[in-house]
Amino acid sequence: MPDAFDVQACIVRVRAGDERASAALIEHLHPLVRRLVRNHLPRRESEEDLAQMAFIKVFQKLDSYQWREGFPFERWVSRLTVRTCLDALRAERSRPEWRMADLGEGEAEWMDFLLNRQAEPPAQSPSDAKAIVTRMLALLSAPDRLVLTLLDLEQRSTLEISQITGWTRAMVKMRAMRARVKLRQVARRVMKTEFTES
Amino acid sequence: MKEFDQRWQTLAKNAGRLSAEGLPELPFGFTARVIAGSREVVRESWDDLLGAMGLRAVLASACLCLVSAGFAFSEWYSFRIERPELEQSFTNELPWP
Repeated sequence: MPDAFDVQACIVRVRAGDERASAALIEHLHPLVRRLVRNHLPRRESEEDLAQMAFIKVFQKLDSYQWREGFPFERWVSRLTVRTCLDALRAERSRPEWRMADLGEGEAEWMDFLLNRQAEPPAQSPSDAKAIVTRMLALLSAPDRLVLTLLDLEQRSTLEISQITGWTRAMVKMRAMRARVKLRQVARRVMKTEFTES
Repeated sequence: MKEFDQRWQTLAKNAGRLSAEGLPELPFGFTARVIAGSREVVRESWDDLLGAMGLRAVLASACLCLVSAGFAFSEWYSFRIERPELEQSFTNELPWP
């Protein structure tokens, strides 16, 4: 069995300027950061570039990190990464408009399921489901998108979201509720445009 | 619309399966770029500063400012009320030339 990675010891070495420790820390955190970046990626941003930006912030702010009971280093990194993604999402000026006609076959099936025109979920690959979720979420504001991604896509609890974002739990619940209302409005709008087109 | 929420959950769960799969390996030169980037001089933006201070701290200081402004105003106002009486008493005591 491989030895567990000692994060705290590695941080001490990174602070002392050890480049090999920095490389080891990046390798250890890469899957976590990459997964978060992938889920909160703005439309025109490269996944690798945003992950790099998040890592740079982690290293630049490493001196301000202090170990606390119940707040592991990975959560601190997650918070910085999510904040970096939120800034990138906010910087995204335009929200793409799309219509049912723009969708591929698998995506259209998922959309039909969502709009209650198909009883069973389609047996398509998750990539089509992800494409529809991304399209729908791209029509929401950055904080709404963030909270729904964390809650529904990543299946995190409100407590976890509160720890990652720094928002209170009540705020997370309120934002999620408002975001869901907006999501329904978006779906209704998509349906309406389809009927006016046909 | 409850049904919409349930359908959305099913869709999101399916989409979430993809995020867990197929994460790429660490790209070549990524570590070197991060280390080089982190050595550049950082200038804290207002956003970062506010984020670090926390919104609650900003709100608390704004409340303190309001309270102290209130005290200052009440002091100034009470001074204004008392002033004519002082002037009157002084003028009464002045002897005629």
